[in-house]
Amino acid sequence: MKQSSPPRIARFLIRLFGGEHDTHHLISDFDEEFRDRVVRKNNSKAKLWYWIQAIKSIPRLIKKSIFWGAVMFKNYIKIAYRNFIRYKMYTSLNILGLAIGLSACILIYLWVKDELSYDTYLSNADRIFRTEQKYITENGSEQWPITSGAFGPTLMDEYPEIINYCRLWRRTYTFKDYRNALQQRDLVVTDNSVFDMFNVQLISGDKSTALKEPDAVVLTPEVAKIFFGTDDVVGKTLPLEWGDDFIDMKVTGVFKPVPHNSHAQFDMLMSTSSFNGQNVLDHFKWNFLYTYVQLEKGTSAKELEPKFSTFLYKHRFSEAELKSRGVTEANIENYLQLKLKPVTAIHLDPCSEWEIGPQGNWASVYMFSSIAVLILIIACINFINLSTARAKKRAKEVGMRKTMGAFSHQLWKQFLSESLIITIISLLISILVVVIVLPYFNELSGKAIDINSLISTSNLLMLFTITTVTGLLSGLYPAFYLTSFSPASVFRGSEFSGHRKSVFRNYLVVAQFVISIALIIGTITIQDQMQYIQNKSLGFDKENVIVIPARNRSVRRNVNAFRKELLLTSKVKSVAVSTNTPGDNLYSDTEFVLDQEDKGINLTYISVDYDFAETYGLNFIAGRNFAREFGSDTAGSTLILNETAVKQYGITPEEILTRKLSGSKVVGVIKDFNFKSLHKEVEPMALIFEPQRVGYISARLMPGDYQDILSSVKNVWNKVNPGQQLDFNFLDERLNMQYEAEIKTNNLFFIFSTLSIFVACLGLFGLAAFTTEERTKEIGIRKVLGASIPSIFTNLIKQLTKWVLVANIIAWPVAYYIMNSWLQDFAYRIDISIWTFAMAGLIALVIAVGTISYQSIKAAISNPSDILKYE
Amino acid sequence: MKELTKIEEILLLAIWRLKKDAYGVKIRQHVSNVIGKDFSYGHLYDALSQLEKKEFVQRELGEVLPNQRGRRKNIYNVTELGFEALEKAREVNEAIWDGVPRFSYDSGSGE
Repeated sequence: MKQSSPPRIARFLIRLFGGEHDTHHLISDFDEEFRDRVVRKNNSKAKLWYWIQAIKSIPRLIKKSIFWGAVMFKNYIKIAYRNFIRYKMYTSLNILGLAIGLSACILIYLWVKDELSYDTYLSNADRIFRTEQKYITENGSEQWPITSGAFGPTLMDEYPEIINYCRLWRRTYTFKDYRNALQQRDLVVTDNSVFDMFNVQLISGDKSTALKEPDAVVLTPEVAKIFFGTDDVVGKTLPLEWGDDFIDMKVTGVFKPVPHNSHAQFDMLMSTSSFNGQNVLDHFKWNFLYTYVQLEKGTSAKELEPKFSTFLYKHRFSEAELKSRGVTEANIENYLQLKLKPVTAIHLDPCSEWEIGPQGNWASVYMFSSIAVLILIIACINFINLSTARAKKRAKEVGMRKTMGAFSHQLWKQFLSESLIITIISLLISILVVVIVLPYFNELSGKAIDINSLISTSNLLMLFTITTVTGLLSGLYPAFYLTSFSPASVFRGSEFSGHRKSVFRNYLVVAQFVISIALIIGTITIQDQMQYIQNKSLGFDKENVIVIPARNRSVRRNVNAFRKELLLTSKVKSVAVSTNTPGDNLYSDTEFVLDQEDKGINLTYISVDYDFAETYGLNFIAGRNFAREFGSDTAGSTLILNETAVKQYGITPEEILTRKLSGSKVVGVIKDFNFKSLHKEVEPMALIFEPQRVGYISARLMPGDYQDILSSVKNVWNKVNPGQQLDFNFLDERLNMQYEAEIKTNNLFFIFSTLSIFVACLGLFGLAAFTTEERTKEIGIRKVLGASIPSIFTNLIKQLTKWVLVANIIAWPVAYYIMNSWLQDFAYRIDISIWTFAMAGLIALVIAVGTISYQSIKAAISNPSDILKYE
Repeated sequence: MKELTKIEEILLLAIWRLKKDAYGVKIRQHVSNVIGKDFSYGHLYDALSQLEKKEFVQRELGEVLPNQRGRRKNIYNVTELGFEALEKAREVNEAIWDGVPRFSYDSGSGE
């Protein structure tokens, strides 16, 4: 009969908990008795007995191994401490690198977490959606977040799946404060459902009625202080400028400021019922507000969306529009769809235009997450390289421990605990750093991350994970490498002959340089692109122009007087009024039809006066500007077109001057100019002569002392518009606001990539210090034999140069691919030139050589007699 | 010197009797026989390590035997101190039992 053997798994369990050698006697006891029992009883009973013994012994074994583990651990810590003290430079390089890496990692983690947290605090976040209209044309599709006022109520009426709706409409009004001064304020017109759907919390007031009545406003304590000087304001009246008059608005509540991670920011709300009977919110014509709906529990948005075709067909267009576009209920979905975007997705997946406020994007989330990982990898590589480079010094210790009977798992534990200790020290430092730099980081990134938010279970868990992973990542290879030494060869001294062992280190250095070079290329490309879009010729002159919003009637009425007075100061070249200025979002759904044809094209248009073209420095390629002297330019039916528009009509600029466009006369054609941000191509556009429509006053300043000129503008303003507040921007600043998100991303990217390059340098510095030290004697002998200082220096940096070049070759295609896809987001973009790559390579080389040259030069100029005198 | 517990006393005597065979399995068997019920390995090794700590026994590694994959047994020996403790325990025992006749719990009746 085959002799049965004790259960292997049980035996393995004993070894697992008790350690390899501490359980020998126990296993041999169990085995012996097992064989005995097999003979006396039977196989399965003996096995069962063995299992029971094994399981019963586990708790004791664990207790014992913890006790002895702690004893050994004390010894590991002692040895680690001695090593840290002995090699101060390496230890501090390691800790510094890891601390920088971890700080960057923690900051990025907080940033990413914040980006992902938008609107997740809403109590029904998973059931609230924004309705968006998707227009489908031959050239693709465009999704607009804006809808008209009747969408919300009608949708709720017609679809039982929709149980609530809320509209948000951004407006600017002028109010009279408690000191009788006029104050302009951006606010949001909304429905009472805002309290439930957007979790707006009232400090005082009744949330079931606060925004039900007409002319009701609720505001934050901060705004209340501005208007009333106190925050006890419920029931007070606030005069709102309405035409020539003031309407008394009633304050019905004070609400807590909206959390910063809400995609919609507001500090003052007005009731939609204030517009009852004004034919503003009850039609489907103009898109200007945001409609949010709350779905019934268990309703799938995906299944609801197709049902909206009926709704769109029934309400969205007039009969005439439907007919002229050939839209039927069956085919409307090929033309226009209504989409539901989850409220939590708006921040990172915003629409490309007409968003409710500045939003984020997935690209930067991915970009920064990868930088966080890369910077940690670089720091880990430093650790690995410095530890294995120093292996020779530790080898004798390992050999000794092995000879004395240490098991390799003990050595593993020892080296892993060393790397964990270093990581934990770095973590403590980096937490301190994060606490110190967080305010600056917030400022730079436009975030409001609270230090206290760092102390949450998920964050602490994350810190713990990052630390452990970093510690293991950096400790595993050195542990494997160090424990692999055979005592015999260590003491004989044959372990370290030859170059074999340094190959892996070189690969890691190459990997670091690949990352660094890719980051340098990324930084250069982003900087170039930002430079490009900020300096690109826009087709108009953006310097020296100030833009003053004319937000109330008295300012609008006085605009001619203001212009006259301003020109009299002779500090202003020209003054123009228009409904919008470059940098504004406009949308084009007004069709202009060329005479004798039946189909027109949609044009973006703004209303301007005689002086607009001159103030903005627009260039005419045919025809003329609107002119006072002709007298024939009638308001509302005289146009100037841009080149793209003319091209789309398919006729020459000269010919279009003889034709009529939807009954209007075309008097001139201008060169294309970038009215919208450079993310977008120039669209067909018309300037309509309507000098009575005043949205903004733009003034081109004479060159000269700004302070002086601006103070004259202010004086004139106060003279013409007494009691009115003057807000103005420089046009170029207004335009740069379009790229605010990019500029922030750019700044952060620059800082983080600089940091990672710096960390890579730290490692290289340490490695160079080590290799030069190793070669001191070689250098001494070379010098004795007549080598010159430059030739020794070249000899020392030769190898590194080679590796940097190899790294370049790997990094270039990777960086090209990534940066090219980033640039796709811009309609106007730079080509990544070969110089960018060459430049990055050169920078990397200079940094690398610069880093190691201190040691190389020191070694090269040393006196051979000092080095060799001990031989 | 600390008093021996009963179980320690039994163990020490078992080790002394078993001589070269004083390792886990045999000690356990012996003790189980003496006390008449199963004596677990947990108890055994706990008590043995106590004895070792008090220096009443010393442990040495047994010979490498075939069919054991190099796992060596722990063989226990009673030390000088151990013998002294046993001696003392015996005296105490004898003092306790002095004059008590075997199996006669109520005097005057029975045999």
